Amino acid sequence: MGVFDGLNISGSALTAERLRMDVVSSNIANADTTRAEKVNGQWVPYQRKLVSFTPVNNGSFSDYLTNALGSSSEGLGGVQVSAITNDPTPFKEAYDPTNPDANSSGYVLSPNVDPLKEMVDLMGTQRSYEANVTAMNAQKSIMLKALQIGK
Amino acid sequence: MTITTQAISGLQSPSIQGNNNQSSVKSMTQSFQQALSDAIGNMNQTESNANNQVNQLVNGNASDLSTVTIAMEKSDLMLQLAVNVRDKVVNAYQEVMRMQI
Repeated sequence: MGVFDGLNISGSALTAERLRMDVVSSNIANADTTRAEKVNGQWVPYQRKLVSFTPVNNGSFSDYLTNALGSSSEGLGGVQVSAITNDPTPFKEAYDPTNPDANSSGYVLSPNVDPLKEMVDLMGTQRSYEANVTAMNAQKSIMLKALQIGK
Repeated sequence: MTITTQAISGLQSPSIQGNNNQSSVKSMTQSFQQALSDAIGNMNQTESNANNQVNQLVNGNASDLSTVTIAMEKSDLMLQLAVNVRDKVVNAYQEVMRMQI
């Protein structure tokens, strides 16, 4: 492990959390978008996006070597966003035949975005961002203390 | 006869040890010099990386504010490490110079 590996791990977490915050913002902004994309000639409303994280190895040669030799690596590493997927829950329906977006039965499909869930995700993302910043500050103070050995 | 040859060989040994002392001092100063130049090289690299990232942020090309801040913190740490290495190297050199012959 290098000197700056702790900082790199926390840095990757900060980047991933910022991307998650962007996805939450996109969900909130598109909560009423009834015409997001055209599928088979019909307009489909915006689908709520979900973010999935996956751990990432440091990518150092020693990690690959230990993996190739069969012994398990430590599994320490940062995080990265593996995929941004759509939420499969069904759309909300509202009966309004006068709406130009109404389908043949008179129902208007609107996105499956629940503002309460998005607010909770927002708060969770913010807290985990702050936690990673605290971890990074602790790393830096440890390094500065190490530089004071022998003074 | 054997006693005189032993005495002559005994006279030769201090000069050889003297040469070893000189070469060990030279190798010590050279390794410290290399450590100092390595530290300066690393610090230079991280500082130029931090400068590039700050320039990108000012121009609006930066993807993340956190990566810029982290690069600045890394260059700050490397600078303090280089200052510490310099202090230790200078102290060691002065200690060696203070040795009475």
